Order: sequence, then C-alpha cells, then structure tokens
Amino acid sequence: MPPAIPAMFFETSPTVVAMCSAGIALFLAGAWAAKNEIAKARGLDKIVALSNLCFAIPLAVYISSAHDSS
Amino acid sequence: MNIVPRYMPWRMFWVYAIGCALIAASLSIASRIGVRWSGLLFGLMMFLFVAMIHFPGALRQLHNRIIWTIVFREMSFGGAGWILAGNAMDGRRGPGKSTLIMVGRVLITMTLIVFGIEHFLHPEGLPGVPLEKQMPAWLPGRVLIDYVTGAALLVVAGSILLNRKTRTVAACVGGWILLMVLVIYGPVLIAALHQPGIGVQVEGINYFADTLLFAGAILALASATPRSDAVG
Repeated sequence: MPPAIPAMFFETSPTVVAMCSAGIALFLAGAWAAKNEIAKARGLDKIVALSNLCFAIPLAVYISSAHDSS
Repeated sequence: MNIVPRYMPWRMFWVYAIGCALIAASLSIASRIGVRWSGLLFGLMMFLFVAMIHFPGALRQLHNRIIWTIVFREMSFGGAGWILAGNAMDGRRGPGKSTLIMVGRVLITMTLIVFGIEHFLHPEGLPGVPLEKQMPAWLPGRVLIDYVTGAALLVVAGSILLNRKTRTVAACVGGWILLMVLVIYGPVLIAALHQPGIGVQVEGINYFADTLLFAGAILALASATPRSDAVG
C-alpha cells in the first residue's frame, strides 16, 4: 500500500507515514525474532537482549527519510 | 540529495543505494541473520558519512557543538555496528572479531565522555544525544534528568576504561536511555506529529530514532562484554 493512502487518512505527509510505518513494522518483526532470546534471558540480560531491536528500528525509520531527501 | 557531496558522481544513485542498504541492514540486524556483514558494512557506511560529510563540516565550524555532537554520534553508531558484527562472529577467535569489538568500544567510549560532559554544560537539552532541542516545559526536574544522564554516561565510560562491571553498568545505562526514549522522546514525538509542518514532524521522528539507536549502541556494547566481567 503506498504511503500516500494512509497519509490522506491521517492528514499528514507520506514521508511521515512511511517513517512511522517502517519503524512499527520493524518493531513487530524484530520483537517476534527476539522473543525467545528475551524470554530466556534473566535480569539485566533481558535489556541487553533488546540491543538488536533498538538498533534495527531506527535504521528502518531512516530508509524513508533517505528516499525523501531524493 | 543535497547532503551528498558535490564531488560524488551519480548523486541520485547514492541516495537510493543508501536506502536499499538501510533496508537490508535493518532486516538483517532485527532477524540476526548475516549480522557479521550488515554490522560491518553499516559501520563502514557511518565512518564514510563522518569522513565525507560531517567531519569536513565540523572543521569549517570548529565552535559549533551541534556538528561535533553529530560527528561523535555517527562514530558511535558505526562503532556499535562493528560491535554487533564482532558479536555475530560466534565461535571465532582471532584478530578480526576482537579488533571490531575494540574499535567499537573505543568510539563509543569517546562519545560517552563527550556526551556526558555536554549534559553538564547544557543541562536543559533532551537527554541522551545532546542536540539543540530543549526538554518540554511540562517535564519536572529537567536539569536533574540531564545531570543524572550525563553522570550515567560518564560512569559507563569509566567502567569501560577501568574494565570493571562494564556489562552491568552499560545494561543499566542503556535501559535508562531506553526509558528516556519512551517517557520523554515518545511524548515529544507525539507533540511533533500534531504540528502542521512536515519538517517539525520529521525532526520529532529523527530525535526519537537517533536516541533509540544510541540506546541500542550502549546495549550492543554491553552484549559484547563477557558475563564474567559483570562480577569483577
């Protein structure tokens, strides 16, 4: 679905919708991928297990802004 | 496209190439497939950004703290990418893995020291990555939050330099920055999305994403530290 359609619905720019959608999609996918490791970890290691997720979400967000700058 | 240096050929190509590289890197790092390569190449990309865009800009404006903050921020992101790559080389011992992790630790430590000091010099900015934006007025104890964050960043840097309890301290401070992202940057992002201008909205998203990535960098550093170190 092109970002222009939800952008019309939310009355905001396609870039903003694309950035938010990419971040949320990556969050869901990354949380699914990391769920076993987070469940196995104990104590502070549960936070450490979030490192890849915290790293990947912003990269997904930047994709849209990189394309917007074109 | 304006950010691509003018001397680069096929400037539009590079914009799309970076976009594709970011898609691949984000999927790879989230799914933990091929992180050895995605982390390594993402780090390399960040170092090229610093060398070709941010560092020359910083040299032109030596007294502009924001540009220097961006230089250190990007170096810490690149270093964290290399730490993730080194971490992904499971079962391998040798110069490659330890060099990647060591370079990443050095770059993140330098950034922690610079950012920690900046929190004390500019104690009303948003915590984590000390850029221009100020903390929202509705937030109580703004200066205290910045002092605590600055001290926490300096404590992580100290624990890395002294090689004492690095994993525990970095995990705690990474968790603190993550909490700041949720409690402070979240509302700032929502407020920005309610503003009319696209620039303000994108800026709100970028602040949220940058600080989340910085939290990820500190947590990556924690994950690269052996558990035995947590006791020592």
